Amino acid sequence: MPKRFEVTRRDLLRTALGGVLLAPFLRERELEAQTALPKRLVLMFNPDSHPPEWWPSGSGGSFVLNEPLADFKGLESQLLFLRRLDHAWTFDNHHEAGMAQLFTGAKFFDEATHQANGPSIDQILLKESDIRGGTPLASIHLCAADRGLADKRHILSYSGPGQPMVHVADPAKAFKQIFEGVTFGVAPATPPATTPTSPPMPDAAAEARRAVDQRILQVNTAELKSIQQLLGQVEKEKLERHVEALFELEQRINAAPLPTGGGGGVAPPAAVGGACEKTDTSGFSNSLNNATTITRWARIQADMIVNAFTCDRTRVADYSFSFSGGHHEGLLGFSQSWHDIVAHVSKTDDSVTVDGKAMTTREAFIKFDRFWAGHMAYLARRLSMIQEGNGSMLDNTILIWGVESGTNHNHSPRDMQYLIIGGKNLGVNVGQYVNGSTTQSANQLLVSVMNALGHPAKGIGIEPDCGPLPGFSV
Amino acid sequence: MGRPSVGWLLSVLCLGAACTGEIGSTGSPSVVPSAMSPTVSGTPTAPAAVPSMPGTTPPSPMGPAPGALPYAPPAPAAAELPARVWLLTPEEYGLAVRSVTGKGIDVSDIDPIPDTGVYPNMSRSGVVRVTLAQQLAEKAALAVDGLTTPELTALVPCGALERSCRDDFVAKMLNRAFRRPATDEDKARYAEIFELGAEAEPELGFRSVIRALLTSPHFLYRTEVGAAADAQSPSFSLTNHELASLLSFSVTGAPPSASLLAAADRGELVEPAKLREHLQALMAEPAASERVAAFLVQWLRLHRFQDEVEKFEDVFPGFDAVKIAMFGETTEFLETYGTMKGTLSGLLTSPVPTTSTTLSSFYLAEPSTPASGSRIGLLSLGAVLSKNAKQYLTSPTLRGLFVRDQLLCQHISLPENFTPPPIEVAEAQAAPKTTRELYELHAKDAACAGCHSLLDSVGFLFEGFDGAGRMRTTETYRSPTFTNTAPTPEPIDSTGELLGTDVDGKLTSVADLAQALAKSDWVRECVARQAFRFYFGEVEPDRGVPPVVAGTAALKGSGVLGDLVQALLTTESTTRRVR
Repeated sequence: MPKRFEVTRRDLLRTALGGVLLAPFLRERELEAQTALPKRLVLMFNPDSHPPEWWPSGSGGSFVLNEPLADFKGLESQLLFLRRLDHAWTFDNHHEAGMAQLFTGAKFFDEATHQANGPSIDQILLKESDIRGGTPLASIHLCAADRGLADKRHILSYSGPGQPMVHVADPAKAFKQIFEGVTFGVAPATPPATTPTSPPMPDAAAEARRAVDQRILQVNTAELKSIQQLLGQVEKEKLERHVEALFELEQRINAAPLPTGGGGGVAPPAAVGGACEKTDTSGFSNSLNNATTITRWARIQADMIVNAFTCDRTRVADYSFSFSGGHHEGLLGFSQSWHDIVAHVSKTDDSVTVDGKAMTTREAFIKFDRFWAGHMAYLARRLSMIQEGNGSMLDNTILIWGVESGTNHNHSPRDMQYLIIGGKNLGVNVGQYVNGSTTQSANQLLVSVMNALGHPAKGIGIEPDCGPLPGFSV
Repeated sequence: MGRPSVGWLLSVLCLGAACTGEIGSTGSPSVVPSAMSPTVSGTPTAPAAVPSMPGTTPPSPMGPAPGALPYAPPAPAAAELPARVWLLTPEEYGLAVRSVTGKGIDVSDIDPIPDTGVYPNMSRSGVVRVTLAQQLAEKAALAVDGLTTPELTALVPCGALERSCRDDFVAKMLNRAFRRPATDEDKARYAEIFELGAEAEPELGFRSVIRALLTSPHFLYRTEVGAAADAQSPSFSLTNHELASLLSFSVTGAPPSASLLAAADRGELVEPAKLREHLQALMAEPAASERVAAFLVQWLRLHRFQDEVEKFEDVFPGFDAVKIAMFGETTEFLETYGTMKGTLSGLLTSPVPTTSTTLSSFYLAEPSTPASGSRIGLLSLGAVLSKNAKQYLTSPTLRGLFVRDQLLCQHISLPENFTPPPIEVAEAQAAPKTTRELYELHAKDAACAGCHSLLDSVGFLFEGFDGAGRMRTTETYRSPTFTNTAPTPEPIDSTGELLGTDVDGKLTSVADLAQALAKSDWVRECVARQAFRFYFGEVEPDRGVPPVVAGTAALKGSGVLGDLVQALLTTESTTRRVR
């Protein structure tokens, strides 16, 4: 991980000299990019941990999925279970500490917010690896069964200390942000073999407007830089995010074709892993307690991620359900708090009534857990069905699914339940249940994921030298 | 769903088998002051005292309670606050656009400043990432495209869309947008943008300038970086124009008016007496009163009441239908007692009128509601009571925590690497007849008692109100995890005790509590600290910073909210910054 304000390749690229120095390297990368398949990452989360039955039966390459993960059946060869992973620190009942370090390995940024004191692996990879490729959006952050709030219980991804990446809950809003300007269903933007006629000339007004747009971004960037010089480090970093944002907008302007009087919109690139399709956002309801509408909400968001990948709008996403400690009374026919009444007491044989049926709290927890897991399975399955290279899009994508508490909602940092899905072409040891007896740090898993996606990290968060996780790679 | 922010943390759990009993400053970014025994002399860092470290002997639950903690003013702290930029909220942005173009725009689809749980508009939370940058660029384009040619022409000093009018136009628009006089460098940059646009057509030059300045950081942020001449000075004063923006946005939520900017041009705002005059003028505006009301709602953590607070329909039927009326009760109360002329004492101890028949009916649906009962002060507002409760019960712990955090600025700090045990089984074993009985289990476990003696003893005072904010004199205990085989209404015991403050004592109701808190200097200081967070958009670096000291003094003097605001914004911390 770079030190604050260390000069990165992207920083260098923003300078004229950097452009010259890096030009040969960039050309090499472009050539490589034409042949290499994209690498992708999805962070996933649901609250309140999983029951013990979430772990499969058996071990090694011969394991059997139990009820909570029944919807993953058929995808066993894409799963990697790694048991005995502990979080490196805890606080109180681990809900907030678990959220903060889930994908960052960091402690709290401050006492006021309890947000993470460092970036998450997705944002580290965007800065330190080539995962983004030439995609227009660095990352997308979508949630379902949640309002997309910014406090510590809702955030998976951080761009830096105390800098949350907030989820978009409303699919229509997400669609606009992700696919603005994309024309669906048109031929890929690969050049034709022959050019029958000269391309139409862009009109002068459009050219002038583009020149103005570019100059505005440059002027605003220069203004930001001049203000930065007058600030302390924390405020400088805040404005650096703004500088980066303007840089991205400039890249988009440069990449967009000038209008020529007809059509409009950005044609998608050659679909590297399936057709670039428009996401159907109909049927959305923001109820947090209705299983039918949450399922529709989840599918829209999952489809949005899949289409963002097939349209190559981004290669990094996070997909989150509810929030740490979410209650959802009324969901699945249970009128009370799933968190308080079921997840908390699943170790007992208390009887509860769910959807008119009496069952133990453990049975209810399994039912609740399968509900979330089914949505995760849907995304994984969709990615597995898209051909990409000699395999599937899932083979080139790592889904890392975590929860904020140890097994069976034990309010501890022990035996955290992470599941790796996909990534076969990235060297992930899929199709395995590594059920070891030795406790290891969950941060090692985060390091391994970063390593697989192209960043040679040695550690993360409060464990800068923890190294990768044995058993993660083939 | 929609449990209050710490609801899950404090369900029916022991708050901490290893609770340190430490109380510190909520929101202090780096320092949680250590516990201080009331018997220890010296200046306390917070009004707190309960010694109980994990691994050490906890206080006996039946032992002597900590005594009163006299108020001790803080040691003076440095006046300089950090240099910073503070992103305009969407609402502030919309008003700022109007001040430049003369036309308003829809800002409802701009991403809000992320609410990280302290106050919704903390300056550190306002970060422009690519999505927001794109939205702001689009809004700028819409604002410009929305100007008709005559409207655009009206913005040009020479009254014509001609290139010869460029320089005056650029200077005028920059002055407006940046809320300060444009520098030569500014003018040159924007003149260049003008020329790029005007190459295609002259009108595009004018429109391009406006579009550019509406995305400039000098427009989007309130800057507190000082004058160029002080760029190399670690410690410096804000410029007149930065002061104008700070005061105007903080007090009214809007950009500075032409008259205030003219005063800045004249250099008046760096003169303390003049600054006070201009501040008083701002405080007389209706928008300033609206800001005070917004502060009070956020202080009470009610700004997301509609989204956050839900109840089990079978336990509190009709709650969902009265939420709007319940929040209306709060706004009506604040419109009466939470104005610039209102007092802290009035907020805490004035009777709450219930004018909504819908809400009255809901309140009366609780069968044990006393006919002659009345609500006293903001602690008995239905919204406050229902937010700080569970979905199906009250929560003495949540209510105690609310008082500690929001009114006393005492923050319970738990140690790392500690997991409180769930006590649902204990609930079943104890077979409580009332919520109080259940929560009194905390006192029987020495490990829990350290913190809960501070929380529950305050929370019990609210037991005269159920989990939906309805007055009651009896309770039939009802819990999803416990079935009472012989349910009978039990009388409510709302006696409690306030500990670790300067107004300690045994009390019998929330009305008693309000009266006690109204006399507390710790409360006055806490309200000053809360107001600092709201008006300055940052957590106070120390309770001894001049605005907090001055605000506390104002509340101790007149107690008037307007005096609090004026005191906060007229110390050296308004003008001085450090890089």
